[in-house]
Amino acid sequence: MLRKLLKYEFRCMWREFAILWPAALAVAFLTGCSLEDNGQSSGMFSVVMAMVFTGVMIALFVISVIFIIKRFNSGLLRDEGYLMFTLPVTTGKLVLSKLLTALVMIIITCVVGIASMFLLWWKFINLPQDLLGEIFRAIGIITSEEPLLWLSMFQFCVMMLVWSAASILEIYAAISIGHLFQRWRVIISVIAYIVISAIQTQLMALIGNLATLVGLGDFMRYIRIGGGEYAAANTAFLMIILLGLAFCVAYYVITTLILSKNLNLE
Amino acid sequence: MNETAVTNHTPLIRCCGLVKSFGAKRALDGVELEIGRGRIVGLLGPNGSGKTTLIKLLCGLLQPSAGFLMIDGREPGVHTKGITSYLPDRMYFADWMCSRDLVDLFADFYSDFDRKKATEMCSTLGIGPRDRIKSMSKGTKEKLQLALVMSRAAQLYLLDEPIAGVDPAARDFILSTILTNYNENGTVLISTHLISDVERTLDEAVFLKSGHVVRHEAVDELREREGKSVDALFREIFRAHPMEGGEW
Repeated sequence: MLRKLLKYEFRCMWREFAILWPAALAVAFLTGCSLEDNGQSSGMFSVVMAMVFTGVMIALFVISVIFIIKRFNSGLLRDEGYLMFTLPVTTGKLVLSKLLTALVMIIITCVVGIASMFLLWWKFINLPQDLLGEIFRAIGIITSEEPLLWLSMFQFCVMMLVWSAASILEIYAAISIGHLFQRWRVIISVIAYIVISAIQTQLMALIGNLATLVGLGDFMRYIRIGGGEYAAANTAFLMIILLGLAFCVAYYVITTLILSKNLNLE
Repeated sequence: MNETAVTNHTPLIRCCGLVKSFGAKRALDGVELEIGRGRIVGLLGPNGSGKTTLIKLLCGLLQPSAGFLMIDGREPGVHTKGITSYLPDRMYFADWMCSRDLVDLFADFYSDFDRKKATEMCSTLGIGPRDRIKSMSKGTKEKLQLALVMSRAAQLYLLDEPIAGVDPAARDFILSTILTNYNENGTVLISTHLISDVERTLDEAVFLKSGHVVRHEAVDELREREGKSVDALFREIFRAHPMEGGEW
């Protein structure tokens, strides 16, 4: 059933971004074309293109955030909720489908953003013929000297993914808390988001202090001495990932509990 | 006694001491109700009597404040949602969808959905597969919604005010669509306050007043005992007394 939910969420995502993603790439390419060989602007056209490029990048970010909020709020807590909550699926799967789609959207948007940067400076980047081959050869050389680099790169990606999920679920939890009230739902959701963020920050500071008290600093020094810098970095990444997962679980539970027990679509 | 016989004798809907409160307001106040299978039941009451609240509880869109309700022997959940076909009193389709998306969605999630029937009904209504919901008139959206709901061979159809706010010709169309397409082994629960239009189709009538069930009888027996139509009885039970603070 989750796969079926994702099918419709991805369809909706594609309809929202089918024009924006290619437009961002096209604008980046045209802006790059408008630059002179020394990287300077070549008149009014390139100035306008630079402004359009900046506007498109900002729009990409803003529309992504709006998409996350809108797909959850309108998709579950307005009229469309009458359809979604009467489908034979659990509330947890409904929330999970929104989360996974939002994550995929963020990943694609980041790839589009990075690709736009390359396209912006395409005139000045001399890419080798066998680009992928060169990249893998370079990584191979580095990791033969530092085998743990692969793990570091992988854990970094996982860390970014987990904390993106935590950020999305934090938004969902705040909107769900607002849904508990009959009136002023938007304002209460915003206040709930601010309060949750403050609590999260305080908790992280508290965990950091507790970790220092129980000797985490010494433990990390021991790992650095015994295993090297990458071993210490990987251990740090793992702890940050676990902390992020804990926040993900907490926000997910808050959201699904509220929507299971206290749903009121009027 | 075999399983089928047991299943056929157990009520499809069972409500016991059902209470639903919204803050200080009690929308349902101790509803006791049993509805069998293969029946067309009218849930009748004026505005604010608790009809929509009861239907939402049956759909799983609301949770009871007290008491319990069962559909096919289970509390509202994934199983009951799979056997219940719900028509709300509003549009619940996403604007970004086209009619083919909706038919695909119903086919994906409901094993009892008849895609061929739905496609034929859409065609009869002049709705093409690529027509966007956003571009449809209100009346067309309502008919599309009804077509999809009635294309399922559900065990329970919950229709919340299906004929409110539509002209008499459209009411006849809606009632005709319901009667010609529903699963005859299933139960249809129609909530309405427009009694005269639906009376001839009903097997049973449940009268809801201020969150209580005040009458629940077979329509034929009710007419015979009272010597009047269900519509006339409704007007009698729910007569408004403005000077005495009565209900509208």
